[in-house]
Amino acid sequence: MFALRRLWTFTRFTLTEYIRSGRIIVELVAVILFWGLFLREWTIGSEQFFSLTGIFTLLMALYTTAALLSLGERPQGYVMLTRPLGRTGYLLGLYFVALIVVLTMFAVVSALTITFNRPFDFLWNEFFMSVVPLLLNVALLSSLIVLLSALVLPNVMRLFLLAVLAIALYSQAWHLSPVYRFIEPLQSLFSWPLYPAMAGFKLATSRDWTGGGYYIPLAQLALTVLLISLALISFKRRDVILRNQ
Amino acid sequence: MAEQAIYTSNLRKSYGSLQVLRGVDLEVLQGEIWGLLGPNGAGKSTLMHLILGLLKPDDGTIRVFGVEEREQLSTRIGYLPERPHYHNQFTGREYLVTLGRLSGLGGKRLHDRIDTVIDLVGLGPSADRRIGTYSKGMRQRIGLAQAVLHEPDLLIVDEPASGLDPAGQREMGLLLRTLSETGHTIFVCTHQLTEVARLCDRIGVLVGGKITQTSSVAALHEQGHSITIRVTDLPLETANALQALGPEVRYDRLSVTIFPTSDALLAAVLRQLLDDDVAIQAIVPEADALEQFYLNAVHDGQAAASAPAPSTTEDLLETLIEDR
Repeated sequence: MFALRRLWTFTRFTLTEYIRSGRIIVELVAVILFWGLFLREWTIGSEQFFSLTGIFTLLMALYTTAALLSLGERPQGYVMLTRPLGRTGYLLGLYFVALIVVLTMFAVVSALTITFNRPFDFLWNEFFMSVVPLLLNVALLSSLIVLLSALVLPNVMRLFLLAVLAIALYSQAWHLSPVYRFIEPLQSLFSWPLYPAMAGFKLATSRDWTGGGYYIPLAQLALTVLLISLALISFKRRDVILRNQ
Repeated sequence: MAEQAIYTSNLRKSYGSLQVLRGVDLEVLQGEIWGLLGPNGAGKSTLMHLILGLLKPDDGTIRVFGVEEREQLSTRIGYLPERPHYHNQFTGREYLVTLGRLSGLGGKRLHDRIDTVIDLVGLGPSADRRIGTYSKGMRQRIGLAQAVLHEPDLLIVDEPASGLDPAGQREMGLLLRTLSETGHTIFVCTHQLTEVARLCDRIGVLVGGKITQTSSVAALHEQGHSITIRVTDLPLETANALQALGPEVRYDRLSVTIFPTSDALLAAVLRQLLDDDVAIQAIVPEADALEQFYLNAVHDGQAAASAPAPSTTEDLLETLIEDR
């Protein structure tokens, strides 16, 4: 209970700093531009809405999580880390702030679109059914960014994981390459952890929950918990050396 | 006898191939102010961060109040970092409220405690201004306020007088002394000898990755001053004769230093120099016992260490961040 209270205190503090320092302007401008360019005028359906916002929120999750982690790498963190908040609370706090910011921005985009240019096939219940896998993908990507941060993993491990991701993601381009037959088994092996994210994206756009669709959010959640747990374990075992300003 | 607040044994820490600590043995007793001295880059901050649990040792033991797991002790430890980096977007009071809550304080007790520490460090009405507008001295004050807010039993203080004017330094020393008198154990890292002389009960010098010497400050004060005799050129035979006078006599080609000094020893050295027709240029009562203690420890430690120390703490941290 005390641990949760401390986590909430640190999350609220970091979120307040993110807002007061003006860093959140980047996200706000991005939201307005995105909405103005893609969602304000054109006639769109729910599938298009979730395809566009699905990609946009992932890009925003990438940026915001990286920005929050760079905040966490400042020497101000030493004072926080020596409190009973501990390393777990510190890293989770940064992660939750990133999620809150991205979710808020998604809510802003959704509110603007529903108010000013509602998708022609919009239904509230279907909207919420799509929101779940979409936001779980945000949580999943943010947890991956946390795991890949300099705060959590040493450079060698980060490079290794990035190489694994590259092999898993760039399969289409490698089909043309003569080395593909060597890479193909690795690609098959490495791409399976991405399945929940891919399936989650598809579920958000199609809203087709038949045929085991309900397991996809569970898989997204499980993978998110796994990644964030790995990040916490690694962070607890590492030397904390924060950057000088 | 007082119980141990900090105990380390054979503590080792390397960053890649760079050995920073090579077996640090340290014992700080509860209620004392223990000063850690050492040249830049000697590993003082590394030792502090190991004690705080921010770094993991390669080898050796660290116990704080008899416990090895430091996260269990975070409510009993306060930390004032060397560089006063705090969250500029918050007022001093807002910052203290957050840190108090993180330390398990709340409600009226938290706000009463905040008022107390604001008074204690002399922050006054500035507590309601944003930290971004603070001078370096005020940042040092808010730093001390956050460090003592949760009434820790052990205060770890890195260069407390850094950036303060002489009056501020004196005030900071008095504050730490007041805290010590109320039962806090204070482990202070500094390279200001005057600060150490005014503040500490015991000191140790970290050089070459080890604490080479420890002493009580009171005992050093009793030893008085050193005397340095400057000469034009010290012949080898004279040097050998001086060496026979005892370990208090140190020399190089152009000077002879006696520490701790005594009239009899000074007379014996002068007699030897005059007998050997060594030209004396000056006799200088040069350093007090504390300074000489420090210089001797650094000299001995550097001679004993086989690998060169990194040039500065900043260089070391830069190397670490790049390696990471």
